[in-house]
Formats: sequence, C-alpha cells, structure tokens
Amino acid sequence: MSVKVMIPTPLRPYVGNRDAVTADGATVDEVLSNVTAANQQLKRHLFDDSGQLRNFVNVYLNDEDIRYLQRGTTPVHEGDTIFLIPSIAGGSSGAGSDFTYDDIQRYSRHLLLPEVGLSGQLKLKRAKVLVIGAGGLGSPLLLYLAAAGVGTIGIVDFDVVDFSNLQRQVIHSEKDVGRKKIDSAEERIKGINPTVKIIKFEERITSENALDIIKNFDIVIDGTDNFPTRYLVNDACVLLGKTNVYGSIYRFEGQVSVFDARKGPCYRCLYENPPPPGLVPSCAEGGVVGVLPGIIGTIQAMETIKLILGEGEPLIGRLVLFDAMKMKFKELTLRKNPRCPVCGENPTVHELIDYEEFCGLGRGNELSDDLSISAEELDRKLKAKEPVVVLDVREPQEWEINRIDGSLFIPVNDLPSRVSELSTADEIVVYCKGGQRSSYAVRFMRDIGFKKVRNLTGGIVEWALKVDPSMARY
Amino acid sequence: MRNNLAYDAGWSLLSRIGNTPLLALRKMTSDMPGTRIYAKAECFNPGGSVKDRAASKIIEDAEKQGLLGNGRILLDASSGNTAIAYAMICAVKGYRCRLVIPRNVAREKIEMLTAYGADLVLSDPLEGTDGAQRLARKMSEEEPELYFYADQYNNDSNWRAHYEGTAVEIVSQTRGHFDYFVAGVGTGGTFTGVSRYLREVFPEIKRVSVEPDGPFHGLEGLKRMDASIRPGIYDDTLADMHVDVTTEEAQGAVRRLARQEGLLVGPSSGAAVVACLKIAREHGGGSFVTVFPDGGQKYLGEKFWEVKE
Ligand SMILES: Cc1ncc(COP(=O)(O)O)c(C=O)c1O
Ligand SMILES: [Zn+2]
Repeated sequence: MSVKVMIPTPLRPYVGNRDAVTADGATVDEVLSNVTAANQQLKRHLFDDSGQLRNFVNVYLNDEDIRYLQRGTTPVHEGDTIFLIPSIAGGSSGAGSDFTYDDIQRYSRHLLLPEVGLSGQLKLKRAKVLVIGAGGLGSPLLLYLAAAGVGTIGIVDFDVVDFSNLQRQVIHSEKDVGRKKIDSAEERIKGINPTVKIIKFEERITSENALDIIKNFDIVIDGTDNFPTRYLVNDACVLLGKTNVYGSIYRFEGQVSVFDARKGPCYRCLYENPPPPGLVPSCAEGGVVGVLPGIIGTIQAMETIKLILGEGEPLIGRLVLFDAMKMKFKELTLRKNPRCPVCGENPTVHELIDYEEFCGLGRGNELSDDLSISAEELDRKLKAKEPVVVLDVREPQEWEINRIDGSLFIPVNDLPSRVSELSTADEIVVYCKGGQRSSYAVRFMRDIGFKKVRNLTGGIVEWALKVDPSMARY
Repeated sequence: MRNNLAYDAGWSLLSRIGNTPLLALRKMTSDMPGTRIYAKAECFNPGGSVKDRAASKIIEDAEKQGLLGNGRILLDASSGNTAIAYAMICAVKGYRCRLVIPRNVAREKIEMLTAYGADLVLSDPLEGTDGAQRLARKMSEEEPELYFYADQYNNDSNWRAHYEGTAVEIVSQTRGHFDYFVAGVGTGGTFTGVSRYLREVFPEIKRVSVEPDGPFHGLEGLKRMDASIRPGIYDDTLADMHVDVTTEEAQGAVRRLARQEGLLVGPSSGAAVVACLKIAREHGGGSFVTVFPDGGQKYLGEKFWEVKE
C-alpha cells in the first residue's frame, strides 16, 4: 500500500525540502516506521526514546485523527494521505467546511457587510438550494446564487436550449442552442464559481420523484412557468416543511413571494385552485419581456440569500407585484388560509396528487378526437375549398408574426363578448399557438351551442411544422 | 433606577489588563535551597493570557495614529492567544477583527474566538504560525485599505507594552532583587520589552531567552528562531544566556505545576520554569523572575495530561 505522508514545514529540511513523501505499509505505524527507518533525524523528531510517537504529534489519516480510529494500527489504503501535525490539542486538519484564502478574495465585498461577514458566508457555503427550471427565472437565479457562494445548487430541467430562449435565458449562449439546458447552465456556473457543487436532475419533476429530489435541500426556488409544477412544488414543500421561493412572470408583470407553511401561507392559500386550462396564457403563448425574469429572478435570489443568512425581513406572508410598464411595485399581505387543503387546519392533501389532472390538463380533460383536427387535414380541407372558418384566438402580437391565411381573429379573452360574430351553422376550426387556449375556446363555444367547432391539434406550431415550413415562428 | 453601587464598581474590563500577581513557586524548588522562582501569572488577564498586554497597546497606539476606525478591520496572524486578546478588545471597542490562525491550534481557542465574534481564517496546519503570518501579510497587501494589519511580529507597540507595563510591574513587585529574568520567545515581545527596561534600570540582572529545542515542537506560542520567520521586534542581543527546552520537559513541568503548586498553566509556562531550573542547577541556585504566559484550560485536550506522576 503506497501512502502519501504530508510533512510539516519544520521537518521538511530532513526530507530534501519536500512537502510530502510516499511510503509503503499496511497500517499507520508501519508507514511511519518505514518513512523514518532510513532517516535518523526525522525519527528523532517524531519518536521518543522508547519508540513511541511523541505526544504532541497528531496524526491524521485523510481527515480523521487516528486517536479516534485505531491509533497506530489503523489500516491504510492505496491513495490515502497521512498528515503529521504538531499540535497542543486536537486541532482538526479537516478541510471542506473551513474558509480558505481564495474565499476571502472572492467574497471580500460580502465579508465587509456585518450582516454577512465570515459566518454568513459560511452559511451560504453550507446551504443547499434547489432551483427548478433553468429557464427565464432560473438563469439569473443560478448565476447570482453561484456567484454569491451558495455551496450546493440542485438544478431540475429536462429541456434543451432553443433559439427563442436566448432573449431572456441569459445563462445560455447561442452556441448552446440544441444542448441540454442543465449542461449549459452547469458550464456557466462553473465558469463563475468552480467551488459550487452542482447536483443535476435531468428529468421532469413529477409527483413520483418530487419528494426525493426536494428532501435533501434547504430551500426550493420555483422557476417554472406552468401551473401543474407550481402546485406540485408547493405541495411537496409544505409536506416536507421546506421554504419555497416563488416567482412568476407574464408579459410585463411579475410576482414574487416566499411560501413557508410553517411560518405563513402557501401558494394554495393564495390560489386554492388553478385557473381553467388555456385561460392564462403561458409566456410561450403570451410573450414576456426579456428583462422581466431578470428582475423577478434576482429578487428571488435576494430572498433566498436573506433566508440562508437569517437576516432581514423575508417575503413570507407578502406578495410583491411588479409592473414594468408603470415601473411600480405593489405589495399585498397574504394570510394563511385556515381551510387551505395542504397547510390549513384540516388538510385534505396528505400526499402528492396528479397535478396535470388537478389543473385540468390530464388526459381525461383533453378534447376528444372528434373535437380535434390535424394540421394536415385542415390543409386538405382548405386546399379543397371546403367551407371552413378558421379562427385565431391568439393575441394581436402573435397574429402579426404569423397566421393561417384567411383566418378570423378574436383573442380568447374577447371571445365571450364577440362570439356573436360567428355562426353556429359554420364548420369552425380554432387555433392558438400550441392548442391550449384554443381548446379552452372550443369548450366554451361547444357549451354555448356551437356544434361544429374543432380544435387545431398542436396549434400554429404544428401547422408550421407540417404544412408551411416557410412560416415565421416564435 | 437605583444606582447606588459599591465604591469600586464600574471598572472597565480592559482596565483589568496587566498588574498580574507575581507568584512564588515553592514546591518546584523545595529540594533546591538556594533557588527561588517567581512567575508573573498572566492567566489573570481578562483574556486569559499575556497577549492582552500587547494587543491592547497595539490597538491603543493604532487608535492614536488613526489607523483604526472607519470600518477598518484589524487583521493579524496568531497562534491563538493574541487572537483571543484582539477578539476580546475589539468586542469591547466595537471594531471588527479578522484573525489568521493555523488550523491545528487548540479547538478550545477556536471556540473562544468564535464566541467573541471574531472572523477566523484558518491557514495550513503544516505551515504553523509562519504560514499564518504569510497569509495575513498577503491579505493586507492585497486590500490595504480594508485592513489595519496589526502585525504583532513587527509592531513596536508589542514590546513597548512590556517595557511600560510588565517590566515596571516586575520592578515594583521585586525592587529588582533577583538574579535572572527568564522568558520564552514567540514574537519576542515579552522578552525584548522587559529586558530593555531591566538593562536600563538593573543591568546586572541576567536576561535569559527560552526557545524550543528544535523547529518541530509542541510548545504553543514559542518559536524556534533559527527555523522560523524572524520577528522584527525580537532583539536577541539583549540576551545574556539562551536555554533550549524540549516539549516533553516542559510538559512534565506543567504537570508538576498543576499537581504540586495548584497552578494550571500552558506548555510555554512549563518551558519557562524548566529553563529556570536548568540554570539554577548549572549555577548552584539563584533567584528567578519569569513569565507564565497563559493558563492551562485551553490545553486540556492534550495527551500529555494522561501521564500519572
Ligand atoms: C502561550 C504563549 N506563550 C508564550 C508566548 C510568547 O510571547 P511573546 O510573543 O511575547 O514572545 C505566546 C505568544 O503568543 C503565547 O501565546
Ligand atoms: Zn396553504
């Protein structure tokens, strides 16, 4: 067994001024006697006349004081390191949790702050934070948390970088298009702060894996933009007793809060039920100004750091609403709902449920086949000059980018007031970007008597893919 | 509010630095009729060691020169006792301090420093206090505007604390009626300051410096000068004699001091008493004044206590 023995500075002159020597042996004693066998000087410094190691010499095997192992008979293994440390009392050679010189350099601006200082910086170093989603919110979050010295960062993401992400997902670069977001994010984080430990979860967070993923972290940051995941993350955090730093963005507006059911309300206290599917467009549908996730994500990062430090007033029980156009922040006080199904007095949710279903997106809620039409079939009908009314329920800006020629245009939110512009006698095909909002429209129209209305499966995205590749995309 | 306190209530903590008792060690010399040893028991300082003296002088002088304040952080390297003294005084005065100490100093010291609220930077244990000193210097060079680098190894306020304090106390406690002044050297502050004063007022008193017998030792606080970064303030031309002590000899003396004199002190105190006894044996007695730099509480985790005698 070849083992490395680290030599303290005062003894280096006796080993040719090296800081380490290697020696063989099966136990610590054997290694040390082999090291000193041919070196009387070294032997005299380390051992007393009776051959005992002198009592102020502490011997560490890797990070452990051999006094707490099997003393001299502690077995050694290939690649182990023995440290000889002169010591008055059992100081520790343990590395890792200590503060190093490099840390002092890197975090000097933090160390100047009495609210952070060395002890706060150590708290950051020991903290474990999970960021769900390496997208718009995840980008600034990850960059700032890594730069600030959060020691362990978990990332959950299964997506790949798309060209349309670059407008706001600043952790990814153009060269990363097509690459897994989790890998591209890791590379950037390592570039900023290689000391950060990154734990990657390259999967969709689901009711099956959420508790396992979350349980080892102190704080969870929700950087996702869909309702099922938001409820899933909330419920998992309540069940595990974790803090959930929430942020959401849409167009020019954002929201931030900190949910900690042990001290205040949870997301379900605020929004007990999800909105009907399709009613609230996602950023992919409704758009978002690229700076907005930067603002909201950095607020989330700031809250996270405050929580780790235990300083300041966290956003628990408060919801911050941001309006970029007015450049105004508003604050709402949130109260814990005693009837909250997860964190209330008589909770009805004791384990994770099916959140797709809960949010009306489950298979049972999909439109049946006879209420849908494929892009190819619509194309065939139009080419055959069949009398089909094509209805676009997207927003005006989307309409400006692309549209199916000859379609009518009524944004989904205007539909109830403008539905009289349509005739129940017509065969109608409704589309939006991806099929969500249009299926909401189809259901609404069916309910009020339109019998021949159908949804374009996959929306204009599918259309562009299958029928009109020359179409501009967004 | 009632404020009818006893006449001497309201002393500040820092005013308790210095004026330590000079204890006679009778049992240690009971079989040596012509030998008397007296020790300044520095564990009576509020921070528990002789280094309260140097640290408070360093800080006071820095205040006078405007080097502290404005959020400047006091920075220094130490094997522990100076760090504790800085931490205590900075707590009283509201300064921030950042202390570089080798990772292998006694855990009890690290815990004390944390308790006082100091920032700690741990340096490579293989490199000892020299490594800590190099690191502190590097930090101060890189961000000079951030720190007041106290640099106890090269700061004249260190030895002056002993010149103006320890030495004057010794003279008033003895009227100068002793033969040898014996002190261990770490920064050399104690030895240099006291010796300078004695040379002026009682030049016939022999001045003895004490060092570990080699570079690799367990006498926390002391330095083997020929194998270390030499402190700028240490003036070895003041020494009439020089004594080397082994770690094991010093540890034996520490046990005897505890078990025969009821005095719980650290290893460097043991080294001091061993040096006195060596000289006494060689020169057929004499009267000695030495300094016991600190108490033994911080070293109770040490293996040498396990020996029964
Ligand atoms: C325990 C102990 N003994 C002795 C000394 C040496 O004192 P000086 O630095 O004045 O030489 C020190 C100084 O750090 C010490 O901590
Ligand atoms: Zn709730």
